[in-house]
Amino acid sequence: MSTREECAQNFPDDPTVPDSVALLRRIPPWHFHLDHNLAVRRPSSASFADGRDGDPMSVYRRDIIEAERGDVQRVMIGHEGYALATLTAGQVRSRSQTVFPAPLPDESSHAKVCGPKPDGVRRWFAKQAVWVTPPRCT
Amino acid sequence: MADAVSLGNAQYSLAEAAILSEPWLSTSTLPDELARPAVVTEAVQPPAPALRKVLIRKRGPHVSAEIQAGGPLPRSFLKSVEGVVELLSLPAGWNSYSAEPIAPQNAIAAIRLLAELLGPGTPAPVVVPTVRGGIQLEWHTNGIDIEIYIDSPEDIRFFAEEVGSGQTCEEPLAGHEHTLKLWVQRVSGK
Repeated sequence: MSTREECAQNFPDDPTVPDSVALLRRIPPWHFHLDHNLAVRRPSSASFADGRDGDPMSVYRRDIIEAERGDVQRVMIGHEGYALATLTAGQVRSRSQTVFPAPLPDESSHAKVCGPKPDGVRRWFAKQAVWVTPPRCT
Repeated sequence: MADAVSLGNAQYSLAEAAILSEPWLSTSTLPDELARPAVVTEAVQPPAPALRKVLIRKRGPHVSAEIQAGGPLPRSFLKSVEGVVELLSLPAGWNSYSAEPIAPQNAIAAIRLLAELLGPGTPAPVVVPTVRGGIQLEWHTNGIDIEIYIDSPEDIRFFAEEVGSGQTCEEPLAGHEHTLKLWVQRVSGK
């Protein structure tokens, strides 16, 4: 898990990314389910974890995609059955995360969300996330 | 008399899997340490028949589980175990990012825990893989949220909440087995 200090050093927050920016996260089919208490299909808290070896969680910036006149569905290419959820930069920052732009050769909108993600933070992300591309009914 | 159930890959129903996976059981390719028997602890009185043996074996892409118990097993338990076994077929990177394959020892820990928690009438939890090879068990029903985090057999935690009142409980499993069992009973409406 990335500490705040490690994130500040290696993945510092970019203040030029407004709090209103939507951060897109692909959700695999194993990670969404019907929450009977909320009467909605929503992602599991397991969807919002850092990667292997503590690599910070990857997201895609919607503002970059739209500035390039692109379609957010481009981040879904090759991922049949996945859904796409979004949190805002302000939401993740409110839980002690940094938003660090990390463009990839094939995806300029790629960014990292760095910070400690204990169970409670991941649960909060899962309940705050909004679908951009909801899961298909099965 | 012991009941034995074998569960295989997702393309089979429970009944079919019980038949089709049996020939694989004699051709284990997993190290012995992953096919060891799992013994149910006595910390919580199990509502379902006690497990006598859990064996998970893999042959190529096929994963099967053999379970022996002291009596008939609840359907929700069988459904949940099928979900756990399916996760063992996930390759590295299964979440499109950098997720690890699910560790067999975590699957065994999940099955042991399910056997302790699920009685007749208990709804099956959602079985969820985690990025670092663990398993989450989740209930979000009857006004109760429960999430159990199995990061390793030694690191199991749970969170429970009554949605209406906001009453919450967040504890490691060790030493709090009875508390978790009571929360799961509330999911069952008991």
